[in-house]
Amino acid sequence: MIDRERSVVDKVTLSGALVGGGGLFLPVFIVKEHRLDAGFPVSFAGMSLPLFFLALAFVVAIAIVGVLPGLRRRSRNLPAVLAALCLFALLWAGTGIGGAAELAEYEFERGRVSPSSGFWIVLLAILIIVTHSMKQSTSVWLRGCVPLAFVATLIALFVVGVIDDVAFVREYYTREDRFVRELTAHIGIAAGAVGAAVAVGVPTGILAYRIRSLERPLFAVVNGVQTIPSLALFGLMIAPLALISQRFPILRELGVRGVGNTPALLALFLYALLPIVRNTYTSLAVMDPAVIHAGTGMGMTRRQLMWQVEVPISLPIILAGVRVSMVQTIGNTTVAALIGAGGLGNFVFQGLGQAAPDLIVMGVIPIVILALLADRVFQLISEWAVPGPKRGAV
Amino acid sequence: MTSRAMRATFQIVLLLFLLLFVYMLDFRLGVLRLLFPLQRELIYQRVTLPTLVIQHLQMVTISSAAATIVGLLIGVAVTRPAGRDFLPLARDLSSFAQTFPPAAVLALAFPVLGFGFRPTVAALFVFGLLPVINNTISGIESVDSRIVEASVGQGMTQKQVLFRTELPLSARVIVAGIRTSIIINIGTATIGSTIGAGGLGTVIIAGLVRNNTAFVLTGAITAAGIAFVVDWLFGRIETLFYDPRERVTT
Repeated sequence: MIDRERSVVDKVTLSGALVGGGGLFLPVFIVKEHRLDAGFPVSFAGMSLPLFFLALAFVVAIAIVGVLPGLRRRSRNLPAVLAALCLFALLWAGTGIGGAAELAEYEFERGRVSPSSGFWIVLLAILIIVTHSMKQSTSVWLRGCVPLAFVATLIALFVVGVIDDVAFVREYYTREDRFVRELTAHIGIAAGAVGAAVAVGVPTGILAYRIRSLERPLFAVVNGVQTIPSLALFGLMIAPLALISQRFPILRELGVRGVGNTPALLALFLYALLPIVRNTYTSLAVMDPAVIHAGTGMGMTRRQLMWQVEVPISLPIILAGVRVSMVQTIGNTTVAALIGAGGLGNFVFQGLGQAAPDLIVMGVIPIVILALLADRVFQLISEWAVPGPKRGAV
Repeated sequence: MTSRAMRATFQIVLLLFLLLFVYMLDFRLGVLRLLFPLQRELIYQRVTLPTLVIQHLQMVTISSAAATIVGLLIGVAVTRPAGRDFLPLARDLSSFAQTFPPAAVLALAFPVLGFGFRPTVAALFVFGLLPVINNTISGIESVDSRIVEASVGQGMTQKQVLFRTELPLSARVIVAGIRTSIIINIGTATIGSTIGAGGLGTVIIAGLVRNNTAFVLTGAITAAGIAFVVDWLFGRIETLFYDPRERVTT
């Protein structure tokens, strides 16, 4: 089969456009007086007809790219990505310039705008189109830049102040200082736990490979820890740590208590171990013995063999483990807020406690962005760490 | 004792402990009194532990069953000729969505769906889909194309190829995906109590709020125990699908 008879019409781009177009007809925003208000839905067309037609034009542009194979092949679907980026900007900016905010101010003294079903559906369509288009491009550079462009657009809109009326941005402005503090704490806790897990996990993985009798019990323990629900593991840390801090006043003065950052760090560290230990072990297990033999045959010393052969081969695999750990830990740090640790989870659970969705969204968005950023960054690092001539080869 | 026998003994002991801990009040009281001699209130009074266990298992069973069915359907659909265009998209989107923290997904269920049992189940369902989709795709993709061609050559219909060749050969990978999905859901359901879903998180949160470590431990032990037991169960199911020839060739 030659080229698997690629259909002329790009079904995925086209269905993305269809989903996006549908979303535009649904209510995109909910305008509310205050955060507990139920509010009333506003559709794009009801907000501003010119903006609605502009958004529709972008969707049509995407659909046209979807049915023109020549254009698609030559441009690597780039026009569709560009149109999606414009749609993305328009969607957010609509809250400020589109009149939704004016609508809010007209009805209420100082209203706020929350994204509604239409907003999420258009966002999903954009995600579909962009993810699909990235697959067509082999350039690592392009694949790195496009997600950044979206993040940059959002940040630019935020800085300009166009999205100030969006409810969760409003929530942010009322607690700017605390936000910075919790964000720093979140990153600090997650990075500390993963750092410790790397320091312990890599030697443990090597040990599990070298000493065969250790392999099974070690993995049973590390696997077992991952099975325990996160909230339960955090809970299990409290009693022993409280006991230890009562027995040893020095530790208590250092801040070791049953609740707070210490049990959180310990539990997150235990969670983060598995991917690192497993990948370190795997990286050694999959190493072709012929490579080692070749190294020895070339007269390499034990040290040279380690630094010039073993480490370069296993590093990308270990880094992939660190990446999984990091993404997972950033997520689990959210839950740590429940046992009194710092981090963005505090906003999430405070929002849940007060039944304030805007506050929850304000906490969740940076967590998700952090997780995605960590994922991207570690992916780039491990791609870069692959030895040998590789640029553009994958 | 061989290591396998040791493991089996350990599992039986833990299962017995779990059953006694949940269903025999005096046993639980004894254990907790031993651990917390100074704590006056050892037993959570508002809801009984067996009820919380049932709630927890209900949430997980409903969401994981739905996630398994829908995830399998999506995984199969995108590996058919008609849906093949969507295969990279399904794989990328589901791995993209997996970088979302489960706690975040659960928290977002509240603004969209409100408080209680059903929003939690919905969030667990969405998150539980991802490992099933991923593993169904990679399971079916990993089936040797020569075997598929041989099946077609024997005159099997597309449906027969799917049910007699592709699914049986990828069953182990798919079951591993279902296992991951269920274990994640057991963990995330614990956090579900913060949006009023009940379950074992209820007693943990109550303990955290009232500074009662006995409550926290009650919930933590039970939730961890259930996760272990379910994990072993699925470990067993997975081994049923091992191809006996595989051990020889690899």
